[in-house]
Amino acid sequence: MSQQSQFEEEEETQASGPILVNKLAEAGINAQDIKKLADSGLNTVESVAYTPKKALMQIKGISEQKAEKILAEAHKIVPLGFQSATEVHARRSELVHITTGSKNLDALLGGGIETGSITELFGEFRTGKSQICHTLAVTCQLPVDMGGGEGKCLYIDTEGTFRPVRLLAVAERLGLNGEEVLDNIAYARAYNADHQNFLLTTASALMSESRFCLLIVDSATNLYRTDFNGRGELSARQAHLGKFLRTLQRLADEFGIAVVITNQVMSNPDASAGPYVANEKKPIGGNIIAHASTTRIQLKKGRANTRQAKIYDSPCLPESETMFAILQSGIGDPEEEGS
Amino acid sequence: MDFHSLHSLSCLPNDQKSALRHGHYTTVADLLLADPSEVARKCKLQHATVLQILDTVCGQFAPNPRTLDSFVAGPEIFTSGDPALDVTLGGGIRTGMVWEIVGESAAGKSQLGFQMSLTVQLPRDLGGPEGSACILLTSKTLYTNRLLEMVDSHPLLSPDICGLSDIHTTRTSTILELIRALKTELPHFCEQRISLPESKPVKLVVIDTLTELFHVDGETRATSLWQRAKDLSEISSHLHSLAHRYDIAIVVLNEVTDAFDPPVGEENSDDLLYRNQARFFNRADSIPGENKKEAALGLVWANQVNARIMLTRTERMRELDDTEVRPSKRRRLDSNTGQPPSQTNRTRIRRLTVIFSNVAPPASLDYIITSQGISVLQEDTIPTTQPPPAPPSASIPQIRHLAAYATPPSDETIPSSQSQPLLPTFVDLPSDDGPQPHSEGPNGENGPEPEEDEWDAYWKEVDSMDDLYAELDSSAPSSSLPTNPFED
Repeated sequence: MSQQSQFEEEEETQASGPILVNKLAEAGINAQDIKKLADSGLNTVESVAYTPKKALMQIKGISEQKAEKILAEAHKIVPLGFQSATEVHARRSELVHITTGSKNLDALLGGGIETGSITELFGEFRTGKSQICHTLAVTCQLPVDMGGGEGKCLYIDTEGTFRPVRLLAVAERLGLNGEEVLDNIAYARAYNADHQNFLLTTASALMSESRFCLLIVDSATNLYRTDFNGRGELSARQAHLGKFLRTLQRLADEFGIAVVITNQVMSNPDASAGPYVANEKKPIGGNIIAHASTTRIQLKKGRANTRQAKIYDSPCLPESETMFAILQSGIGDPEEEGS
Repeated sequence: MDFHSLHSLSCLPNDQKSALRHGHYTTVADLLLADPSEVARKCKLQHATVLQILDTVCGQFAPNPRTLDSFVAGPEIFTSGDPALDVTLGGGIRTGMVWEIVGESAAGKSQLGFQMSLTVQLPRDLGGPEGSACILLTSKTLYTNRLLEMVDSHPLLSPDICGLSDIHTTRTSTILELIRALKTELPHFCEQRISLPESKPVKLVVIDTLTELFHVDGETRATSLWQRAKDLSEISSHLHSLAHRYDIAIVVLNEVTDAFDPPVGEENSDDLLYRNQARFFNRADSIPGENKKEAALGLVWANQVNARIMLTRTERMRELDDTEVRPSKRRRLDSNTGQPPSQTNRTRIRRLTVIFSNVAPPASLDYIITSQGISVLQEDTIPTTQPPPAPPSASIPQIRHLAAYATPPSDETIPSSQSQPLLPTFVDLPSDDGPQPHSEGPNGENGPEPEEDEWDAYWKEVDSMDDLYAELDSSAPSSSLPTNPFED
């Protein structure tokens, strides 16, 4: 991506993007308090406005009075009244979709991965979850008219499957400069569930500095599977996971980024009782993750390098399925195989 | 009335007013909510005088009894968009009530909410109240494309009579925001719509989803549960007052949690345990597997809703003929959805159950989600088995009469309630869930049917035994009870 377009983006962000927390200074909030807010991951006025008073008071040095004042000012800047759906529709029709690289998959998703919401990919190992993530990390940097989001990508890796080589291959196919592509991807390896959660605070700070349009967590549930054991810790795990997912949704709302998480599966011993039921794998994480992700896509292995994607849950897409292929140059359509 | 100041009351003499002011009682609510003896102490009045003041004030504000005639205009009913669903819901969506739609992810809760917020705009001759809708979102955004798709494809709806302009939305991502929206913004908005003659009044409020606000970060402790109960009561009291004051239908979407059954053998306890009782109001149980999820938010919330509708995503898939599905208004070629649903013929059958309702008996039906919204599969409405099936209950009194013998009646009642938790084992039998749609079709629709047959057969058998008296000994009820089909 050229310097020119970088510059343009940044200007755009200023105009319509999130309002930074510094704006509160104009409303008479003490600069030190603003710094405290920013340090605890609240980098935009929206995030402050959406934060409960109780949570603000937990920040060191912010008293109940201060919290009340900050919230009052934030609510003045961020309108919280009723809007008509027509206005919402107008805003939503400007919504950017990030292409997955496969036309079939894009069509299935109604144009690509939607920004401002959480998309969950789940499937067994080698069904292409991480491959889709790698391709998205590159395509999100494309200009909007080419199906990208003109923004950087933040990649949180919990399984150790991040391979920059794959990114370069995708970049080459799209005709992008490999080095610039890698520069635009912020990578973090998470080592435990708490660390994974903490990374989001850092993410928020990064996002308020420059234009990001995609956050990938590959995979969101892996560490929870190992850090929490058995039914005794189930409730603790679900609460922790719920908190993580809510923070993701908050980031998606505030910064208008697309959030893509991957999820592992478990076999479902109940369902395999009948002879006709193929051993359907269920995503892990239970109801918490099911309710939190906006779009859920189930991936299955197909012939050779083809994979099947199926809409499992979506508020606006019909349940349907399609095929895509994992190519040398990232995700593509099965027909491209020969070329 | 809460904000009436005591000062403005004409029924109190001036000296009493000033005495009350002296004791810092300024509004009627302050006075009525305080302890009379404390009022007497603070205002330096006789206790009897205070009681007399209270009487006067209460008399002033007591609502006059109304005759039932004045309620005839009462709540309005509007269609949910599907005639069969309307019947099950007791005629349609009724205003003045708090409805709850509970269901797992991807069961169709939001879809039903969307559909209602469109049908609420229908003119009266099409079964709507010609109102507008407010959607309070807690986490997700409003999927306007989906709304437009429904307007385009649903036979009842058309862009002339309903659309996005009469759906209003706001975001309430915390409990406090929700309470504020319900307490101040929404009443204000309703008044505003009523005062503008050309705009449609608010007739529907959808909260999507309430549960999102109550996910706790830390461990569940007694204090957090206590706080949750308090918040839920406050929210519901606002909801009910809104529903009555402006004659609005309130629809609250709720999530589910997994239901864990107690280990076999422990459920027979005679104690009135919450978890044993909760399955009657938190879970649906009309078909196998439906009872694996239960509504979230517990007893406090369950007591606040007037009708609870549970949506379940079943494992059943079926090839549907075009005849079974409501005919589409027009064929649409949408570039966005690459594959119209007609191509993938195998449709997931979902299940809707009215667990309890003020206005309708418990019932359940199968539905599918199409581009038009929720569409009920025809002639599938069957009564749930939650009240025990008719044949056994008809013959139970007879038997019990005969059986005044050895078995105490309490034992007698156990089988019917026990059959509920035992159902799941029964239902996992292959016949139901297979993807072989044709063979499975009729069976799958009428999940509980086989069970009723068993009962029928059993009771017939019992009836035919002339020497029943002789045959029955104290062990008979337990040994001959039809637990066999469940044991598997």
